[in-house]
Amino acid sequence: MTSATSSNNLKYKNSFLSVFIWTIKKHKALAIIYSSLLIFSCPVISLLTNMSVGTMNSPVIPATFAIVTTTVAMVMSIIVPVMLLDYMHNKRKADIFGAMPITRRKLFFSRYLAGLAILIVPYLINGLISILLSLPCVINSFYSPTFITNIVIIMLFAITASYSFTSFIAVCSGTTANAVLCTIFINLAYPMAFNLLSFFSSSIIPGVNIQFWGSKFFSNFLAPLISPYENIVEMFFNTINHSYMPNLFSSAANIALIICSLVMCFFFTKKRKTEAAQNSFAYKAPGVIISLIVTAACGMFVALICSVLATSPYNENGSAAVTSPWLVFAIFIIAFIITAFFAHIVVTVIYNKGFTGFLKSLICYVLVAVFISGIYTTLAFGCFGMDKYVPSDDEIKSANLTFFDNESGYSYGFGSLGFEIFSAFLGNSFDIEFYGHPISALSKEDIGSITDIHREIIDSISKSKTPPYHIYTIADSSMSVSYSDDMTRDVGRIVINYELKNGSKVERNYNYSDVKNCSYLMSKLLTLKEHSTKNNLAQLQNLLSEKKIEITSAVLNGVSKINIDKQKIKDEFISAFLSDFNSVKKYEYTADAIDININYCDKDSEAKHSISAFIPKGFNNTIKMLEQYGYAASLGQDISSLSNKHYEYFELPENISNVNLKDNTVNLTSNQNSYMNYKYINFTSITYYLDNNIIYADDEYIYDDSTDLEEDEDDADYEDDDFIYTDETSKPLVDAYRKDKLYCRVVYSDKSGNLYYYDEKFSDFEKYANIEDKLKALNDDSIKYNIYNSDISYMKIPLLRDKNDANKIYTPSILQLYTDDEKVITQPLNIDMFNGDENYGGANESQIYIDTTYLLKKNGKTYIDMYGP
Amino acid sequence: MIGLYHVTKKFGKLAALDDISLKLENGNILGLVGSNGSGKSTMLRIIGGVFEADSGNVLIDGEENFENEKAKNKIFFVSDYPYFYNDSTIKNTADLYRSLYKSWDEQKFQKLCSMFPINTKARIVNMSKGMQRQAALILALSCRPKYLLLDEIFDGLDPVVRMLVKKLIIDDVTEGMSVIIASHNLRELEDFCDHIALLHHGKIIYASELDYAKMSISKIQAAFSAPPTVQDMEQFEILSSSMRGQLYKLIIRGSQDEILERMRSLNPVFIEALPLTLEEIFIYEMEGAGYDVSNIIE
Repeated sequence: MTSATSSNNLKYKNSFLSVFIWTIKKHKALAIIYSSLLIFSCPVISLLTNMSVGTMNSPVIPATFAIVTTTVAMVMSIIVPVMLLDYMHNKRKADIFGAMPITRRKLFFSRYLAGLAILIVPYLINGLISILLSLPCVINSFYSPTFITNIVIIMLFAITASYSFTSFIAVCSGTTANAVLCTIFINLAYPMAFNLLSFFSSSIIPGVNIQFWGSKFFSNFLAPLISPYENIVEMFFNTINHSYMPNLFSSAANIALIICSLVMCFFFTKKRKTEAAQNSFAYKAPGVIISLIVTAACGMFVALICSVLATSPYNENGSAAVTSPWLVFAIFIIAFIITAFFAHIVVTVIYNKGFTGFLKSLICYVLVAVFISGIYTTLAFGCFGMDKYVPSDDEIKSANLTFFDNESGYSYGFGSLGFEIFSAFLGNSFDIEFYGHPISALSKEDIGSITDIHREIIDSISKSKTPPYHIYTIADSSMSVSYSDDMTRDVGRIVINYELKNGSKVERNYNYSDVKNCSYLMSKLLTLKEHSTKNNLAQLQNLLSEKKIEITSAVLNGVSKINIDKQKIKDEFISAFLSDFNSVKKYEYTADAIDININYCDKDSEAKHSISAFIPKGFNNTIKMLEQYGYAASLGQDISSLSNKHYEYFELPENISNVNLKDNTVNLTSNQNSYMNYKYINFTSITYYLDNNIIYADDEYIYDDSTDLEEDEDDADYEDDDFIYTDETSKPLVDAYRKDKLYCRVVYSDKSGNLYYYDEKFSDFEKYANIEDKLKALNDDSIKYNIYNSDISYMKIPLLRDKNDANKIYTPSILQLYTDDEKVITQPLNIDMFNGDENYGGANESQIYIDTTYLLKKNGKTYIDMYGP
Repeated sequence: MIGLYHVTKKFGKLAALDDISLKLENGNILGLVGSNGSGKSTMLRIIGGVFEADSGNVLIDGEENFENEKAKNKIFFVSDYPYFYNDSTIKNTADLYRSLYKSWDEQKFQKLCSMFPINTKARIVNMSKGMQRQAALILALSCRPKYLLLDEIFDGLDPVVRMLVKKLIIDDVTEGMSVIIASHNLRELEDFCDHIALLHHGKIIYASELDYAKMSISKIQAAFSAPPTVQDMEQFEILSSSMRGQLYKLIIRGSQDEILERMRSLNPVFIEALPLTLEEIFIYEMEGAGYDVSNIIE
């Protein structure tokens, strides 16, 4: 042995490491290109955007990071395995690598890990740089360390999953082209097929929405390329609601895919025949499975379109093209079979580069055709009686029925035909929020009423809809809607939920207009609502008196949801409510009643429960309490119609003096939608539209819903809800702001309802004000606190967290403006009413309106009403 | 020693190797010849551990070779068309082999780089076919394998380089390396190999030492005053015969001395034994197996 030989033995201990290091060195150019693309997308583009946008808190910054880096990483997760593992796809390369003194498994995994390092390390470094850059930003904004960290974690799993899965496909494929095609096919076709099947299961049988267990997990399982985008979009929307959690199901699916892929690779690499290089597949099964999925997805998609078009209104009378259910059924099946066949041909020819093995492959096509047709047929014929199933009263523990008013639907310019297709998916898959009237039944009698109503609904539907059912679309919801009128749709619903004694749950969801004789049903529902609510409240009172339960919160369901859970306020509310309930002669539901949910839990088991009720006219104590705490305005309705009084205003502490304004009174209007006929100024427009305000300072704009809007509809101001209005009464506020003499008082409350306040110039609120020394407890001076800043669009209101007790949060609950000479003050606005998650505190609405209409004099003081959106 | 014992390898329905057995002792050069598609390259790949035999055993010094790093460390396989990455140079490719083969000889590598007329820093893919083979050989010989497998190595090499390659291989063989070389260029193999194996349709139809092969078939020219009868000729295993006038040219299996002696009993007017080339051995053995030009044309 020569000295040269002996030195080699010391340098590399094993073949795995040798190949790993050599592969990294060999592909360092690829790693450099990838790193450059990542750094360029974020943080470079982010920083450049920041310079133009002017703030790191713009959502453009994290959008760039999330979408662009995701795309770069996902594309690389296909390129890297193709480049590193193509030694299995070329005979000449297979000779070289096969002859090396390394086992095939070691060879594969050393190259796999080298590729993983190339993908992960640059992304991780880029992510860390982005996190560091985000540190100066406010915590709860988009570009926050939390948000970026979550994106990085999601992506690390997604990149590894995509890479591992593509590697597994590469092991099974005989050519690079087939490996790439299979990867793309499965990532597109699998989620499509899964979601289409989910859609069918929720859209065919009237009222029935079959949910797959773990659907979020399985829908992402074999689509690692797509899953991070879905996750990121979801995170964006969650961030708006101050929730920063990523979709754990998606990440769990990624992890499961990584494990499965690596296990399969471990076994398959050893058994893989080297001579399979340049054949179509080394292992046929994955290719066959992918072919099945693509075939099914294409067939279902086209069949869906054909079915929807067949049942869509096509003329102004709203008549559908096809009315016979059997014909619609046949259209779906035929369309599916034909499209699937052609898809199968295309996939087979692509895979096999010709028609080799085509006849044999028809077996798979037949399997797909039979399977999907079978599922559709089963659903179309009611899925073994699910369409008519109503649990027996004895089986039911509790029942819940919610009916939703006929609110306007919406369309977004897809054109009438396109709308039908889009809305078929939209209406049945998205949870459209409507104003709902819930009825919960706990007593046997009320449960019986609900099941009776349920059977009536089923009977009513069966008169117009018989098997075979077809895919339900929004178009079906009202046959009388004009085809051209796609701006509003009749989309009311009735949702019935049963909780059975055996623990299972049954839900049915019926469209309002499917039910004939709605007025009869409605009166029955209202009677039931009153009856069951009375029963439930009586039971609640019993439980309270026996001290078996504790009320956790009350939720007022107006235009905004108001969550009353602060101890003092909650107790006061419940006490007022029950007192009114016991004293009122008739507990009657009216259209202007306020729906509420009372949430409570068992003291022993801590099991949670909820009952629905309503606040009708005549509940004076309750309404007075709501007004006192400023909840009234945020309910979005004219609560004065309930109380027959004007607002009761919250009175300021004694040390704030008030002066009279000029004698200006404005008549209250009534009956109309409360904010449509009033004059108002947008609070934030004081800061933003101030220059424009100068132009209009002498004009009086009345926000009237008719002529004035039409006159000025081309005015850019009207494109935005933030209209700029001034009038004599609000002018002092504007003037005060211009002179930097407008002040703002923020009052905070803690969980116990104790109040603390501090005053600041309005302009200084836009800075990260240090208010440690300024906070004054209205009743206690000894509170210590830390400050977290939150960005609430144009106005920053600091959030407070107790330094010594992290669970103690002080949320800004009341906002009030006043001029320095205190000649004009505004009503204190309860910010809580449109608060997001109380743990993060702070309002998350961007505008606060000052309604100058409610300009009243009381006790010699003049108040300007102020309310939230 | 390399040993193949009842090895079969099929590709679909086609048997590339059909129950073949072969042994090669250390320090020998085996020439693997055969018709097109006879299984030469497949055999090399099986010995090199690229393919796995469907049945039978392939032992390298008594150990199974497939998926055996230790066994494969003794083998270096150079295919008929070696693959190189677009950016591969001799230097950077040597990095991989240096780290993989325990027997890598850096001094030899440097020496070989200087001997062959190629640029070690240039991209191999930009070189001619012959130079690419030279590059592959440099890497192969630098690894100092105990068993070197070469597939059509002489293809594309100029005569000078061919001589150099032969010399280098022989030098290593004298140091204990064994070589199996598959080629259609029988003239090159003839003065280079000491063993040959003839393959046809996946079977070994002939395998022996080259000298013995030459000795076991004789090419006899003879003239007879009276043509010999069929019975006279039945005593000989004639592989091929032709006649020009009275002169017979016969290819007979058997040792030269024995055949001459037996032929003299037929009283030829003229008789002589001619040297047989490897190519002739190949052709005549293949004729015996039914693989000859007349069969192909028909």
